[in-house]
Amino acid sequence: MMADLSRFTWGKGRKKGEPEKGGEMGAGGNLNSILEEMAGQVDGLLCIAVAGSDGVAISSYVPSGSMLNAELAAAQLAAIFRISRTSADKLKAGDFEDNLLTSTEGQVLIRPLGQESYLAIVTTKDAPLGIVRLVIKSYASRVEQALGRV
Amino acid sequence: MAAEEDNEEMEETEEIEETEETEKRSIGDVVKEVASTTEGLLGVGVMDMEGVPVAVVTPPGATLNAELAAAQLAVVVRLCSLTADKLKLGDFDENLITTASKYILTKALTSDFYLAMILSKESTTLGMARLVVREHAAQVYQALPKFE
Repeated sequence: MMADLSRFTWGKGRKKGEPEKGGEMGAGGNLNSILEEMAGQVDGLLCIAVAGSDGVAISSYVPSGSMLNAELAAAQLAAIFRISRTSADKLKAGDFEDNLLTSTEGQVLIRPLGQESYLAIVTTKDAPLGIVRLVIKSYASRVEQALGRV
Repeated sequence: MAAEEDNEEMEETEEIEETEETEKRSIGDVVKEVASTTEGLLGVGVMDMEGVPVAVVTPPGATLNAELAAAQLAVVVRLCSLTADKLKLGDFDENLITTASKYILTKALTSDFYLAMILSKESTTLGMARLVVREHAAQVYQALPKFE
């Protein structure tokens, strides 16, 4: 018998007004709805991803219009998550809190969720960094709790 | 009158030479100046992408291992550059690792060199740390040896 995976939406954003798929909201659905709520607060959003340190995406949200490949982002950002943690450790800088990558066209903020997973927000260059930091900080514990129930 | 004009010309020439000398400051001198003017600094340096320090200054009392920092952060910069490229986010500009007690900033200067700064969270703020790196990156870039 095949497992019902309809409550998980991998890498696709729901359009405004579109009804949520599946009746009962499970833990995975809860995670997706939190990411969707976060997405509504960030201008210039390209992707939100929750992934393991092995680079496998657990849940992601890509708004319509963004061309970002969420699975590629999850895999690539896991490498940055790991190297940031290792660098903090090797340079005796204390616990790793977050990593902000800035490029000519985008910004990526990565925050650890415990030891083995992370939450990342990818935005365009002009997205207000203060809001991005605020959103990731305020939702990290909720995402972590939802992750614990998956 | 002619003598006065000659004097003025000489003064102008000296001024130009002084300016050129300022522009030709060594990378070591620029890094030292950055170190002396940055609050909360635990270490600053220009490193190459192979992980070798080019010019590093650590204030007295700081216990930073420059060789280790250069090697470790070169891996960070290379990975960030690759990530920006793969995710089609343009060229890598800067990376900031925030830890419990420090800000670890890296900024690409050229394809061969990067600037690294480690700052204490107690003495500076995130906004100030980002400004400081941007401000000094231009000076450091000017002082970098240019290969034809």
